[in-house]
Amino acid sequence: MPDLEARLHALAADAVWPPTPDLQAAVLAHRAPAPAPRRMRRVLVAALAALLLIPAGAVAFPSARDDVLEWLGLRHVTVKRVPAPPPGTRQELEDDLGDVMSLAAAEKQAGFKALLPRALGPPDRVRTVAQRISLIYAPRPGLPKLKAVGAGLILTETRGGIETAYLQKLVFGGTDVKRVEIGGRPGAFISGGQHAYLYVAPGGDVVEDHPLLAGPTLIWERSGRVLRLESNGERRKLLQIARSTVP
Amino acid sequence: MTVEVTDADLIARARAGDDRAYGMLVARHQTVAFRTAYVITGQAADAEDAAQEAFIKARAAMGRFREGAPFRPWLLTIVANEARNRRRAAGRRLALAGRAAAAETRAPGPLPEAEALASDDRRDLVAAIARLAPDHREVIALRFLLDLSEAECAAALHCRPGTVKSRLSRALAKLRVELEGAHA
Repeated sequence: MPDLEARLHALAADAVWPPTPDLQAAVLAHRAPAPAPRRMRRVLVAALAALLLIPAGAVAFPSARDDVLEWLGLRHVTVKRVPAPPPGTRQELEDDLGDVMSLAAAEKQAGFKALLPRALGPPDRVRTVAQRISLIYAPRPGLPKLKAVGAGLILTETRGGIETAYLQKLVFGGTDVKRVEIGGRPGAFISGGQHAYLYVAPGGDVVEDHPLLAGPTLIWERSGRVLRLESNGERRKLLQIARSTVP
Repeated sequence: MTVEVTDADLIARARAGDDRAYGMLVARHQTVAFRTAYVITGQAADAEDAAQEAFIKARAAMGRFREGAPFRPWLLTIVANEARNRRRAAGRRLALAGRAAAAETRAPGPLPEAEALASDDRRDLVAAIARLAPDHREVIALRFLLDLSEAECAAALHCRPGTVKSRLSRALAKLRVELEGAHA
């Protein structure tokens, strides 16, 4: 038998590694959290204080935040089960997604390139607020109109923070949360009941002080972004669209 | 004339806030970072996350990096920590899903696809490495398949270089036994 170490070195030449991802953009896109402006900090504190008022007994998932994250496998999204919508919760309107603008202008404002779902092609319109881009697709066969929004599907993309929860989902009684896999990565499909969301930007500088009710939602992370796909379409179809959303 | 830009140059520029310089450091080391994470997690998606977060943490900690020290072992320490955290989290997820047995048998990569290897000799070698205990498999993959130095292996394995030597020696002995057993 030839020398074992020589055989191992020779084996290295045959090793088939997964392709190395290009990490530059995602790494450079991350900014260390900046201190939140005083007023916004108050809003953040108020929002978090409201969450703390939720009775512990009503939490269906493990109560520790890290456990919730690990159960879902999502780093920038927290999902909490609460007994009822917090005060001030209202139905999401399309205007909540920001101003209408071209995709190029949205990307410039948000500071990152949006991922487009190949299964759907270019969106019918684009809305942007802060560092959040929403691609809006008109209703069509398989993608019925969402409640209160004149769209069949909304894909919202934000840049994932690292240290800070980015998107907090509040799910109420009767809501189903399923762990799904999208392109080998974990995601969550939330359906069958009411649920709301609020955003916390990486620096804590943008907070929705009134959680917004959303339709059936698929959430996952890819290429340093948090993606939220909202639609009344069938789960299988939504997963297919999500899997086609690649750089 | 080509002027080689060293890691030390790039680190100095990155510390001064030059994003492009840090981007070059990422491009230069992302392959070894990703593959080291892959050896530990055995999952490409987890390895990508671990490597990405390690670069972000390394950037945030650049002020604490000792000037003149080699960048790669320092980076690999952070990468390996992130990768281990993900491996633990993945194990817990599987256990929560009632698939603890699957977690036990989850074999980290990066072993070349045995079917893709032309010779029986290499197929046997890959199969024998796969049968080793995880710490033996890791040290062999890092040292031989990734060609890391002993210092770099020590950084990734969070142990002293002397421990890398002894662990590698035991891993090779086990591997010989596995190969002999296969031919018996």
